[in-house]
Amino acid sequence: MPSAGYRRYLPLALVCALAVAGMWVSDATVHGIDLDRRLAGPSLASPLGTDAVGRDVFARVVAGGGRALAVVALTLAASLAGGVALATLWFASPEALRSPLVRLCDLAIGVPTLLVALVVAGAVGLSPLSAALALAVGGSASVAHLAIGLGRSVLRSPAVRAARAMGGTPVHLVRRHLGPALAPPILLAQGYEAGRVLLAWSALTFLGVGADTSQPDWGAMVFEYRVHLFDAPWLVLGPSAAILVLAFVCAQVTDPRATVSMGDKPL
Amino acid sequence: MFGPICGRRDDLLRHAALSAVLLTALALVSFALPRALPGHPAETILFRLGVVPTPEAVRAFTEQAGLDRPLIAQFVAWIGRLAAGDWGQSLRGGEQVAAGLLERLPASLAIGAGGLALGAAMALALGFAAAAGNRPAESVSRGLAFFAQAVPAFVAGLAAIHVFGVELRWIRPFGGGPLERVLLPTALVALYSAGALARLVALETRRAMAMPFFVAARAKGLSLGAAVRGHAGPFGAIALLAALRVEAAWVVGGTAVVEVLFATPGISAWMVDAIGDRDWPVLQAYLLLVGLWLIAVEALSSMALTRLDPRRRP
Repeated sequence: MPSAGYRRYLPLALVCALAVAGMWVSDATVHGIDLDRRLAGPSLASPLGTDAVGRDVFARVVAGGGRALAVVALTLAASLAGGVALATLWFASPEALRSPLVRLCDLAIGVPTLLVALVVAGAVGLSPLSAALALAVGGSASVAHLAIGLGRSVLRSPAVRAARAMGGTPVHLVRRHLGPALAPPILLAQGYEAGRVLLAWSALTFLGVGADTSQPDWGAMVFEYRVHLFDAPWLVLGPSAAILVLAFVCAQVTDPRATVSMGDKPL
Repeated sequence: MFGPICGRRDDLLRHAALSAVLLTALALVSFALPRALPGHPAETILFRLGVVPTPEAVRAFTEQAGLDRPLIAQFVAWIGRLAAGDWGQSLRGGEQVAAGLLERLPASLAIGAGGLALGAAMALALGFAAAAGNRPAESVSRGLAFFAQAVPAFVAGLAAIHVFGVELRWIRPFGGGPLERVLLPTALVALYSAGALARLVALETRRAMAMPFFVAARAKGLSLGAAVRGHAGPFGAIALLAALRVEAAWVVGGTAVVEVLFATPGISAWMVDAIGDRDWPVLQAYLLLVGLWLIAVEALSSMALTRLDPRRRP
């Protein structure tokens, strides 16, 4: 959808800019406690209020955003790299090895993602990197599935057979045929994954297995603030809204029909 | 995973052999994975219980729990006792794992399997209605699908707790009885799986509605609703069954989150504690159960698919 143009990426750019700006927010603002301003409501000084020890919720939400974006970016990159590597292995391997490879991918997709991530977090601690690697197990398997399926039909196409007959090298085939045909659907599917990855990361920080509790991650904040649902219900709003906005922005970037999918046009 | 299950004898034999291999692999993984986590249960659990994990204390704990024996011996002993119905003891509290599972399983099954079944039923109703041209059903399934992709389950659950527990005061937040701890989480799981499944059902049903047999069914005088349910519907149901396998994996993580949020005493919440404690017997049992659940869903959906889909029959 070329007409949507760069405007589609504007919300994501804004969010990224905010997260990058958040890296310059001093630790004192993010972690600083102020016992005189406990559970203060939203105000100009702290737009999302302050928590039970007087920390500024807005500063914490912004600081958590950098980590959330890092997880999404790392997971998608690792899934892409792993999936392309697996698919390449499949195309390069003899017939006898292909079926076990696909079975392995099926298994990786079938295993509950969150359980894998919980076990990894229990083993090495929960960090953006460990979470991304754990989430990329299933992710790379689905990329590989897609790449193998699409790649096979591309390789059978008359254009590729003609290119081969004319002595096209493997590099030429990948650059001029496989790449252009496979990249758009795979990237679209990856973008679709972005929202899921974000929700999985939120769930992991909410459950808190192996987590570094000093970090202001959104899920951890919701877990921490949920007990204030009676006396300070606005506290959970900040991190919850942050997850929602980022998930929406991810959907917006990857799927041109995302706004339509809210229900103003039937299929 | 092994293709359709049919009634033929060689087919059943093949399935039995594959199942045996699969179960052995599952038992091995369940046994090995907890032990691959760094840290020894003797240290973590003594620490959690407030005992200083001195070398003597750790050695005594390890010997008493039988964790000093060779791995092979431990594995064989575990399998042998499993067959007799003894799932071992939790290292943390000494609780019998089998009894603990029996106590926690009903709530988790209600949330996971019940929520999934409810979600599938909603998906069929919404999907058929949407395929038959019902605009509200279309909007609801689109809205639910989008909601499940953008809102974490714990945020939706907190919103429900806020509305029903704080504003309306119908339920007791973070506690209470089966209503709060099982019914609400089940509804949440159902809502989360219904949207995407409904869209899938609608899509496949619409595809079938473009085929000549559907036009013929309409031409012989069937109403749109009857033709959709009787002639195009099975295509939607088949797609739903295939997708349920993926949902069954998702629901394992989904129940963990809602059980922790609603303070449900379920097996997933037990597992979350057990990972931190390195409570090996509990983790082994949990992994085994999750594996069995995935195998059971796979087998059931495969059987139902052969029933529904004549193309899969030999």
